[in-house]
Amino acid sequence: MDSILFYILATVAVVAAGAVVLHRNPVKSAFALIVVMLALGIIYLQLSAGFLAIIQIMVYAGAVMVLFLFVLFLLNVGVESPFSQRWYRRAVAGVSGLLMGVILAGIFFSRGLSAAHESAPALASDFGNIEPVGELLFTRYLLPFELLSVLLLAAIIGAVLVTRPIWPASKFPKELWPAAEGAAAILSDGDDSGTAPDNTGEAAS
Amino acid sequence: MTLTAYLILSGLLFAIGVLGMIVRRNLIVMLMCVELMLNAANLALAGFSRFIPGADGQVLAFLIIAVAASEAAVGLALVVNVARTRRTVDVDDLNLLKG
Repeated sequence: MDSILFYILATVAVVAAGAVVLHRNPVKSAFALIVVMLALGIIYLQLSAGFLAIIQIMVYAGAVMVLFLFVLFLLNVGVESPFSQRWYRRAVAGVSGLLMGVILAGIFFSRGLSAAHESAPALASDFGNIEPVGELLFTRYLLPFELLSVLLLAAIIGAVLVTRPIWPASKFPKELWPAAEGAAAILSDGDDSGTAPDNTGEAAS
Repeated sequence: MTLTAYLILSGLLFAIGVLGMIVRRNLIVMLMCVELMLNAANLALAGFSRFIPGADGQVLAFLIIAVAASEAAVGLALVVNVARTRRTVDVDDLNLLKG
């Protein structure tokens, strides 16, 4: 029963992961990725990592994928044209996929890594619950945990700053970045060409 | 189930993610493939945590999930900015730095 469930879930995950890569419509790729994450969440339950499964479904399938879908809808991304026409990229993909498969197989079937842990040992009844995991998180892994909160704060600020509308060249503080007008003119593809020449004239004089 | 089965699934997912990263040209789908690779790593960690008992692997998986969330936020912010300035998210068209 246990292994049948695992094989079903593994098949679902691999097929859905293939759909992420092969589907030309990015929205369908995103939904396939949600299926992968849900399948992995159930596999975590099977590994008696209950808290991890909940977090996986809440954070990944919930928050991160909603963010992806939101950006997809915001940018109105269309269907991608067929795979890269550049032959060398396909060749690189094939060779690297093959190489990665060989390396991973070599690692997994090497003696010593998994041979000693083939059978699942008996576990404490609360293994993987919030309490033991949280205790570990706040004792042995306290420093990484706190650093992670700083990282999340930095990511929030960075994301907000990066997505701000680009400053028009006329409002960019020149003492911060003297070459701003030129860069803004290149980036905007001449959209606000009305203001750019004035500023370059000012800078020159 | 054996540990090897979980590791093989993890390796398959990781390899599919790498392939997608190389084959696809849409920046957003490439970011999704990064998420796929991080998920594969998490699966390996959860498997080790079960078969070599100890919650350390699960704690590391939490840290990875948080890092992945912040990576997705910053990466998507960059994609939004690229799409706004270049009017495309196709990596083949983003060749401003090409000599």
